[in-house]
Amino acid sequence: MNTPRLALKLLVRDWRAGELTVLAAALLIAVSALTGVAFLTDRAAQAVEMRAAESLAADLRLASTRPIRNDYLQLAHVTGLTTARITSMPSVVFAGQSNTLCAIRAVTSGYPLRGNLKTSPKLLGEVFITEDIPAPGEAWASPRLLARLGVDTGTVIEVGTARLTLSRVLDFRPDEGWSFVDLAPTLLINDLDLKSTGLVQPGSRVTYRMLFAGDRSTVEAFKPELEAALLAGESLSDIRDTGPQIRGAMERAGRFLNLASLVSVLLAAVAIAMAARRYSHRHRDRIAVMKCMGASQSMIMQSSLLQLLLLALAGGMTGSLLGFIAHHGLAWLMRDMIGQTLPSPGAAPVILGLFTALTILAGFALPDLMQMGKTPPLRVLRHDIEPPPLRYGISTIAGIVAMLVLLLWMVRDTQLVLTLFGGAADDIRGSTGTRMGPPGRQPELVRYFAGRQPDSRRQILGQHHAGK
Amino acid sequence: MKTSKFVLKAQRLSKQVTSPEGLLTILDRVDLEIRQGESVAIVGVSGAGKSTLLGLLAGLDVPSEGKIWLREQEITAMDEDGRAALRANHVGFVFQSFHLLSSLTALENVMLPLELAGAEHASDTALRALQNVGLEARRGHYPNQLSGGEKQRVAIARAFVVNPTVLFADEPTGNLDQRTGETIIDLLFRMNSESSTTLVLVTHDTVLASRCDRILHMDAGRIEREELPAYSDKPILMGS
Repeated sequence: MNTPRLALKLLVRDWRAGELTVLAAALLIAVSALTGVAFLTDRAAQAVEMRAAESLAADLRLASTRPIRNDYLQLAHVTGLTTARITSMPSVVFAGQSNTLCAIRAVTSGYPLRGNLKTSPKLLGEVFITEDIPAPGEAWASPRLLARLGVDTGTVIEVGTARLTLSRVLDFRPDEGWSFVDLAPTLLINDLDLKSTGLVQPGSRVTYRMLFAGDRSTVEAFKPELEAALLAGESLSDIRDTGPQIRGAMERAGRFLNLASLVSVLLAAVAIAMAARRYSHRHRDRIAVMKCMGASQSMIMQSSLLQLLLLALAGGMTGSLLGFIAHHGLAWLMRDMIGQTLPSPGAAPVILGLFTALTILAGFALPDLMQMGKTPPLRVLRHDIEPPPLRYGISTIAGIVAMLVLLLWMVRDTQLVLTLFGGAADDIRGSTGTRMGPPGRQPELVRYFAGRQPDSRRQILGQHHAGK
Repeated sequence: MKTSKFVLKAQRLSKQVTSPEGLLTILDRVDLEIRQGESVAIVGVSGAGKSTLLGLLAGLDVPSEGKIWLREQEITAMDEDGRAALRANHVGFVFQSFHLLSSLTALENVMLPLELAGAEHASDTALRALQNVGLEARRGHYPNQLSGGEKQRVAIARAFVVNPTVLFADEPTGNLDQRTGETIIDLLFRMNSESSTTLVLVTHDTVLASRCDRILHMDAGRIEREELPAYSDKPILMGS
């Protein structure tokens, strides 16, 4: 019989006889705990990203105080991205005898590329989502602008030298900002009317923006091309540059949840190690009997490895499924905090589940199973004969390496992981009264999660802020 | 039907182990020849070296000195995997503590050596072996659902299912009551006779030993004497 088939048969028979129950239960707890959190944070991260993109009205936004070359548009169209342009400036608008300062935004078709405009036919009217922009000769004014002018839709206003009809109330635009220039009420007009207003003249405080959107990979590929072509005075923003506080908090929360679930993984890993030890002790006689019947050492080892791999795959998939179910419960418990419908989860948590199952089985069960495989066949006659003992510390080292690999996979930040390991050691030293630092020094982990990171850590966490 | 061909031969076989008291000799220059189809009982007091000799003859352990041939192949010149391959094709075992695998049913236990050897139709062959020991109705039962006698019958079926050249038995009736033991002895010798297997068994059971062609008495790691049972007319074939 070939080894994979025999390994599968033995695994099925062990499962049926309940020999793997404890091992499988510990594995499922570990994988489902991690993937449950991973599914939730994945969906929440996607929601944050989508919201961030809406605040740009695009995936990428190019800004300049000088007209932007059309070369960028052609480059974007070649790569399959959609585009739009915004030209904005402050100006005074007139409605009969009334006038007020407003922020004029002349937009092209397609604006906004992310998110939607919300308009109503008149002040305090029913609000609708629209995919249109003002038609030529028309303008949409924010409620504050209408209130300042004391008019409603249907009124003709003067914008520079152009006369435009207020056709809708602009209740919401996704790229509404909180900066000083956004304090002025908005007047949205069609880009085709911009020239007739005569507002764009030398010395005008005009800001030109070009918007780009598309699927993530295309945008990621396009961004460096665009950056390479930028001229002086042109700046590029993407979703990473928006809402840094929210993103930073979200990432820290995700890391905290991951680390918290790692505690459950660590406990489950200990259970796995104990279950594997029990399993290997119980199966030494079996290995001896199989060797008596002619099974070679390599066949036993390969069979054990394959069984472990099959167990990891089955445990990883089933644990991920349980994690998927569990994350719905978590999302329900946190529904008031989340406050919106989350996007569908990606495949990353399932990959994490499989990786977790493989890593903790390799780190915590493999050493004992490999040792079990070395059981001498003579054990069938002399029960006191044991396999050669594991070399000193192999189990411990394998377990530490497994946890380190898992941490690196989840946190994706070598420096932070090493800091956490160092911090944990520091905390242990602190709690045992053997602190090496100056008196009154806070343990690293406490400081990290309290948000009072030392400079080096702040730099790590603040990488997303760079380039803003 | 016996032939004069030796299926198992040991030459100046010694086994020494290191103990806190120094070097301990468990087997001391044992010579032995066993013919194909012969049944040999190894008897002696505890610590005489019976099980050590059995383990060496079966290739489960390596001697400190001496050589062993099984079917004219020197197993003392083979590595562990080589000895395992030889066992797969030519050796069967019956143990005092049965050594059935607890997670396998009776049928699966009998199938295991066939599966390890890569045999086709392992299930059918194993079922026939179970029928031979009268346990086909218990094929789906796990070892903990079988009595001691039934476990040993399954073990005998497992040992004979691969048609071994040599069957090694270590105290096959040691864990059984007298009546069950007699049944097992009858079964063992019936199947041995049917399959012309060479039988080498270690036992304290005089009734069992007296059913063999030869009895080797061991003491202090040496074969002190050889005995032919009263009703046996087989010639003595001892090397030394």
